[in-house]
Amino acid sequence: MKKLIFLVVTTLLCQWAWASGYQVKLQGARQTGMGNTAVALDPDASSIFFNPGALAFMDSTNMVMLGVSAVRNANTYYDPVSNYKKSTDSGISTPFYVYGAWGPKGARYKFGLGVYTPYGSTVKWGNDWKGKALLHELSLAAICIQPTASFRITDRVSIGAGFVYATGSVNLQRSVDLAGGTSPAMVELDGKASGTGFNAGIMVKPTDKLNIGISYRSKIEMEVKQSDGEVIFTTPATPLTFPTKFGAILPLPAVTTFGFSYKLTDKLTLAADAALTAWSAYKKLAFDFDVNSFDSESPRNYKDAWQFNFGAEYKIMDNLVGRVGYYHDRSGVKLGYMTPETPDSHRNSFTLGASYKMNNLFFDASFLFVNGQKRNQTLADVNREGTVTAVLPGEYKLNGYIGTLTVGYKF
Amino acid sequence: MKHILKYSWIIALGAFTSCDPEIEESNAPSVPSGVKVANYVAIGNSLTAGYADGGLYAEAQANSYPLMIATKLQEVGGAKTFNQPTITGNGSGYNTLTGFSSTGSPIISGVAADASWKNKVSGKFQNLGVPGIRVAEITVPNWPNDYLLRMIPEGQTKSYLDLVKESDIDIYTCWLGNNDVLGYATSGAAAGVAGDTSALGLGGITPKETFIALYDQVIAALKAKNAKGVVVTIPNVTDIPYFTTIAWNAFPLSEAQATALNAGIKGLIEPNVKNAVTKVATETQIVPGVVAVGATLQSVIPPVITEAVKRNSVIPAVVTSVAEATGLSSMEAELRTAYLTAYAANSTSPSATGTGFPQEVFDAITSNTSAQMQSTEVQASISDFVSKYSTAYQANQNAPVAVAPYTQEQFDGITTVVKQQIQTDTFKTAVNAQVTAYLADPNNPNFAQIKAAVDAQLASPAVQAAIDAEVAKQIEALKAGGFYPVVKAGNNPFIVADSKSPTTIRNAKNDDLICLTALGELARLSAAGQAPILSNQFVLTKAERDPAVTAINDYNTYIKNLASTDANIALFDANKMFADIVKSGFRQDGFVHSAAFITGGLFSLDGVHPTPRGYAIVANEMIKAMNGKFKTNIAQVNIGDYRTVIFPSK
Repeated sequence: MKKLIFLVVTTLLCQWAWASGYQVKLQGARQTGMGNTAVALDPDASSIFFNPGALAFMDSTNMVMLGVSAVRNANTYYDPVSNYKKSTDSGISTPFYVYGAWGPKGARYKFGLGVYTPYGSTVKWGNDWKGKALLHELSLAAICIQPTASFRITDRVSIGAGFVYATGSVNLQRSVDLAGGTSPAMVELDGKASGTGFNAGIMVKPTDKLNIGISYRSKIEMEVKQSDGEVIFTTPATPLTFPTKFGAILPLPAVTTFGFSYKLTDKLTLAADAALTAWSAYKKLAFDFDVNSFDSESPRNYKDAWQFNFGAEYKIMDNLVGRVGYYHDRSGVKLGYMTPETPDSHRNSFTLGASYKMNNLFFDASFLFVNGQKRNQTLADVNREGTVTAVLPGEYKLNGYIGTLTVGYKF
Repeated sequence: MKHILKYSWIIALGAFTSCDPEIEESNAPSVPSGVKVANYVAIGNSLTAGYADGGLYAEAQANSYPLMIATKLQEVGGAKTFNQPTITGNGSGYNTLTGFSSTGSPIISGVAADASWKNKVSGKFQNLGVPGIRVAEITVPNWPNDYLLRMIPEGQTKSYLDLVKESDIDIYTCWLGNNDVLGYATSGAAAGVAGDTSALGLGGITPKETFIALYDQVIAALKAKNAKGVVVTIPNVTDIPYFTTIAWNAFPLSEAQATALNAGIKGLIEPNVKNAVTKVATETQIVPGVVAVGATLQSVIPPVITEAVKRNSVIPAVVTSVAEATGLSSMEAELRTAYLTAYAANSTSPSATGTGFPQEVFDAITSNTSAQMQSTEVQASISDFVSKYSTAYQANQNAPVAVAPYTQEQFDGITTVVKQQIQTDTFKTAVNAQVTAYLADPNNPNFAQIKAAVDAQLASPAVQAAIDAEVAKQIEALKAGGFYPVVKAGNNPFIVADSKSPTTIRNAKNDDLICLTALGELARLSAAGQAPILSNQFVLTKAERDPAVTAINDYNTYIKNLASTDANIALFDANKMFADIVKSGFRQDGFVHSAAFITGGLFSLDGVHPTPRGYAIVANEMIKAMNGKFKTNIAQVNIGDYRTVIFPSK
């Protein structure tokens, strides 16, 4: 009779990811305001993130910056077969960043320390929607700490690199398909992860008007050690022994960015970036539980994805700058792999920004509207990829509204 | 840039708190003009009623697939009310999962029926699901089924077909026929056999012709209403967990249970085998020891009989023929015969035999011989001989061999012929027949003595050893044939009753289907202190199953044909869907299901009827059938809104 007993639950775990949707392009209000062009902009302390190679070109001797964003993004799902529609209630999240850069006046080098959140998101579908067996809600956060050094080789070439220590957390909740009991059966995974990587860049100034930059942020494998991963099952009585711990490795993929900026006039600067996120590193997601029969693995098979950024900056007054930008973000998630965690699509993003200076104090502000393209993941897509247990066929669309404010001080 | 302009007002307002991404409802439900869905009626049996977990109760009825379909039809113009013959509370009673054994097996307990569940319900019903109804009985007025009778107003007489005919129907689903096989099958083919209509509702398999003729009446009634609808095939009943959950060889026993059961089976079988062998040995003398007795008897008793035979028939004839051949007179031949008779009787006295031969028998034979010898005939012959012999002796002084007027050569010739004669098979057969008849004749004054001798012989160690050897051989054969189950700790084949088995029981075979109810039966037997032997109604053998499968195929061929030949009839091939689920499971919206009992999530605790989740999948398939055939666009239900098996609270 053991056979009667319940193998079904094991398949209910666990597929989730840090996908394009969770790559947060909010490490500098100035850059965001310009369509998230960044790698070749005139440097400031945020170059620690965007291009460590540019840091040594920074005009001011020392600079600190503190920024915070208010993000509201949402996903909508529509199933034509049941004429069912549901939007996430994702609340407002507030990623932040802090940069400090310093170096002796006139020196060819600069040091910096950055703390920023390159990945993270919250998706809340709720516990009574069509895809509840796949996901109720997911919260991801990764905070990177990056000590950095940059060196100006010549007056026109500068390089830099930083070591990245990332620490993060994940919380995932979903239904367990067992009826009965006093509250709906579900499982919650709650873990802490950490990993290391590096961030390197180079900036070249062929002319006084033209900056060219290249940066490379390495992959970071965020590991949730089994001792740091809690599993909480809420179920009715069963003969099963449920796991209480999980471990997993979640890749934060490498990003390579190429870009330039050009000062068309004294007042107008144009910039463009192209960034390649190496999502193809994300082939599968495996969970290792303390009860081995629950171990699971699901394919991701993401593909590398490009982002193309365009921005302009206009000096309205000596102490006031306005910015506008647009970028197109290609999804690394193939049809058939769009899980409720990552209902990803190609996005068009529109940005506005402004900076205001008061002596050594400055403020940067930006507004970003992310508009994902509607994407239809058909049952045929799902069957082709064999991911029927991991995804929900249907139409998906996402958008986001993000305001960012930076306060900086140079000295 | 166009996009920037388009969204600039949002940016300007800094709208932060609303504006979820909008997706147009591209597939809003609709029906084409000409398709009427106002009045939906569901025709069928327990599956249509919402029956689950072995009963019809309020929550189960609230999750009936017709109600799901009706709700979705309301989005496209269906009637706002859908009347089911409301059942309240625990209804007719049902099963719940109350816990798990130490080995993780589910413990299923019954919830008692509500006393009032059979009370009449009034109104016109759109859910005409009547648990238990068979196509065979749809025209029977007031067919004595409690679920049907509660739907028929007090004092009225109606058949199920009448209820259909009285309904307003624009669109229907019709899922009849399951019970025309199910009752037969779930009873392990014990409840009725093919063609048996003696017990309503328990009858065997409905004959194909009856099925078609009656189903045709339903279709005709629906056609008369110009209704469109879905007909549904009948799933192969042997694919359901009721039959597939318990493997033929999944009879679990502990070491102690196995030991006790083996002792029990041994006590049941071996004394009977021994009795049978002994009986056979006694009656037919096949046991070597007994045969030996018989052989000994035959070798000893024949001389007695031989004497009589010689005297009565054979030898006189021989002698006569020799005498005639040699021209002797009959008088002289008779004299010679008498002489030889006496001679033989004296010379073959049984005193020399009897090695290992019971004294009683010896005595009996001796006594018999003596009796023979004392008989009037023998005495007369002897007297006759003696007188004649004496005469001859006195005449020739040459007694006893050469009797005048024979020459010595003549005398020797006759003697040789007689000796040859008594060695022939014919003679021996004749003697043996007489011996056998003698031994078996209760009127034989020595019968009791001989019987006692045979019994004593049977009881002897040698004969008992022979019998034991034969018993062992028989037991070996019974075990090899599966008729003498021997169990061990762990999983064993179930032990089932079988009237065709020489032991009346046998091991289950890999083509036996064990009914889900066997679990409860084993518990009951255990509680009653009885042997865990499953009687016929808990086992569906292949021979019992084949007619059911054949009938289902016949019914389904007919049902499919209805749909393929009529533009107003769509088909839901439930048989195919269930077979597919059995083969490869069912996955949707992140839910993973199989046809397995409890764990599969689709079948309720009776192993026959779906859970609400299972019924939701059925509803969607019906909707798909309608959408496909009638070009409607009726939305499906979300299966996640409907539960699987309810587990007990912690």
